[in-house]
Amino acid sequence: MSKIENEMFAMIESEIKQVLSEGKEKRIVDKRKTILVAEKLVGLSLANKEPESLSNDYIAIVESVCKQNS
Amino acid sequence: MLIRKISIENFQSYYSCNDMEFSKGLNLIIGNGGKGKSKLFNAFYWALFGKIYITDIGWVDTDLLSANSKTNMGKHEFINMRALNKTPNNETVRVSVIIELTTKTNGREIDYTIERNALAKRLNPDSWNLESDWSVTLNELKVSFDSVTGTIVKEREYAKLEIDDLFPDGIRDYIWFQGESLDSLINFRKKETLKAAVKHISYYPLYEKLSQIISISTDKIEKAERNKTRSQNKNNSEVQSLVSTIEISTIRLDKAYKEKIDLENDILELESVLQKDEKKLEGLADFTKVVNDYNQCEIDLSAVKEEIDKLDSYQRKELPQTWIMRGTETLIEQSKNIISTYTSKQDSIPERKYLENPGRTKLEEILSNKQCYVCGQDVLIDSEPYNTILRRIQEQEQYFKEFEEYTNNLSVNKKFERFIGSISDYPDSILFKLQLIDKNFQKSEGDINKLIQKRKIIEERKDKLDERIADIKNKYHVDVKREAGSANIITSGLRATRGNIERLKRKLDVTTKDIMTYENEIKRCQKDLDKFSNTVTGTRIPETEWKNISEFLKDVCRKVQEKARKELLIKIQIRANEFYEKFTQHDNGYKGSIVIDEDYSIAFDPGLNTSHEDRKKMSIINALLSLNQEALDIYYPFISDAPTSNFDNQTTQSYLLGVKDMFEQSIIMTKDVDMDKAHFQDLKLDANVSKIYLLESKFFDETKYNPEIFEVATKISPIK
Repeated sequence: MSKIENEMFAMIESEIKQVLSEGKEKRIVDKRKTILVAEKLVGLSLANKEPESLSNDYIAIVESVCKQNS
Repeated sequence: MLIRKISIENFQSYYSCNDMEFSKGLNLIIGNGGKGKSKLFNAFYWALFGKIYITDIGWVDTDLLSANSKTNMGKHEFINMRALNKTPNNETVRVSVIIELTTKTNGREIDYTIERNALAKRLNPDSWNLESDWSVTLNELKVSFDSVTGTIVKEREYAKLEIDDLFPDGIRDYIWFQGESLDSLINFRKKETLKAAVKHISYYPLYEKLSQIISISTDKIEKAERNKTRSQNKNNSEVQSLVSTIEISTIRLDKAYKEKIDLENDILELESVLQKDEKKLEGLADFTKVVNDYNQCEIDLSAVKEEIDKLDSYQRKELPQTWIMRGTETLIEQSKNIISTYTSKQDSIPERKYLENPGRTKLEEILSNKQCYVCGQDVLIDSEPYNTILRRIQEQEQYFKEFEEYTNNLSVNKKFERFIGSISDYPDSILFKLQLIDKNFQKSEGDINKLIQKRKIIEERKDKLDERIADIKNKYHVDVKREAGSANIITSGLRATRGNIERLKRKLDVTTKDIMTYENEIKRCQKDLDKFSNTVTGTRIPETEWKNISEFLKDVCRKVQEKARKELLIKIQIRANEFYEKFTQHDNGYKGSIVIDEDYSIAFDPGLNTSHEDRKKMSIINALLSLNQEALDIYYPFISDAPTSNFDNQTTQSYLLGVKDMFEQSIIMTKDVDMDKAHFQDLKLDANVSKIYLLESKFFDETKYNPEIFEVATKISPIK
């Protein structure tokens, strides 16, 4: 992982944890799965492709993660 | 990335083949004005992008050069003049620049060789320096590099794509840095410049990309969810209607968002135009005197030129006449002598009154009577009176003879006399005229010399004003010379621009309200749909995990993006101040500090001079570049031609000391280094200073041709 990838993920992970710990989020989300998807999303953002094409990769990832057991 | 070598052949001031090697750390190229620093910078840029820098015009593709275009530069003029001059008719000269560099991708080093070349064929045996004397081919680009399958060679458009990958478009202006363009890169009065710099040379766009991916993805997921709801409630018209409303509102919302972005960009663009015009107007008002002085100089020069032309044409007319007259001077003198001789001869005609009284009859009577009839005195033969009277009779005879002859020729004589009379003044008047011409000619010579002196003084004054105007242009981006008198046009332009901005802002307000309406509409429909899903008549669509996670992440990414933006601006401020401290360490006076606001604005400090302002701007650019390098682990070589003309030697020294540790590799071209001073020796010994080259002029023949143009080339001397 490059420095920027670490930095981006660390910020997102911290934000996820903070929002969920505050209990303000109305939607029901699994913290572990959300963090896992976030990590993959950060990886995607560094790829040399357009966001439109990367969104398909993201959807495949989120579908795959959601199929896992909590 | 590491640039290892540049080979330049017959490019601009570089004659024949020239190599320069570079290493990690600071590579310093020292040379006074006109020694080839900017040409070296051009060589780098030409090899990679096919362009050269032309002052006041900018980067120009050499394939588009034309003596008749605004570049005013022939197609052949980027080729070395000596090389052109030495090329025989029908032969070809080659110009090429080759750059060797190494990049690191996924831990693997790849060596690249980038070559651009062009050929010029001479078409004229008698001339070599006109555009029509040469047929120049379009330049060709070739990029070769090693891969696991062997050496790959790419040419033309494919090679260009490879260069675009190596040096992304947005980053070029910041890593291929030219002092002249500093103000357009960072401007304290235009926060858009820092925003653009952040966009091009920071890692922040990665956060934007993150938000874009998740935003596009959630839209797609929502659409998929809606389709599911619609298909499961295909017989329920209320659900169908809600889904349709959401879809229509979503399309309208997208359109409104796009319109909002376009309007915001248009407003920004117009505001930048407005700012530029206001500055122009300010510049015009402040520098009216300079323009007036300049115009007066032009009027004076034109008047002096007219006077000189007048005197010159007078001399051209008078000169042959004077020369012809000088040839006839002897003849004129001779004619004068002839006239004088004739006149003296004419003066010697016998006097009639003396010879006529007493007449011949009375004289003969005295001789025959031997007595004077007046006094009664005797006149004896052979006496004194007798001989006197006899001589008198002979003289009278002679006189009558001469007089008869004279009388006989009288009419001819009278005519000749008249002719002589009429031409007797000619020689003197011609000689006088000749003297007058000489005098006038000498006077005109003196006048021309005086006018040339006057012209010199005016030209010196004009040169000073030219420098002043160039300074103004550099500092305020106002071409006062061209824009003089255009204040009215600018003022009406300002009014129109302000009007357009107001109009666009009103439109933006409407679009923003539309966005809110569509968003509320979507929310309301979604809420109704959710409510409806929970009723017994509808089919319940359970909240899906992928949608929830994605929507949650969308909100998280949006917050993180904004947080990252603010943090980055703080980091830039801190890092820029560190550099600024380094660049100003030798200054004891007030130097202030760099303050960057959340909205990208940089605090303007009126107490600072241009040199400090430039140091601040360079500190910000360098801070952005170094932060980006650290974050992305991608190192670009920083290549800079003349960091800025506002730096003195000591500031340049501080700048170099700062830069050498900042970038993995930097190639700096500057004139502001004093090689005799101790601190240069310190710099030379510094481990981070890898190479130092001195650029000088190489004269081939100072006596023949024109050494200023093609008998001089850049000579590279390695110092370290």
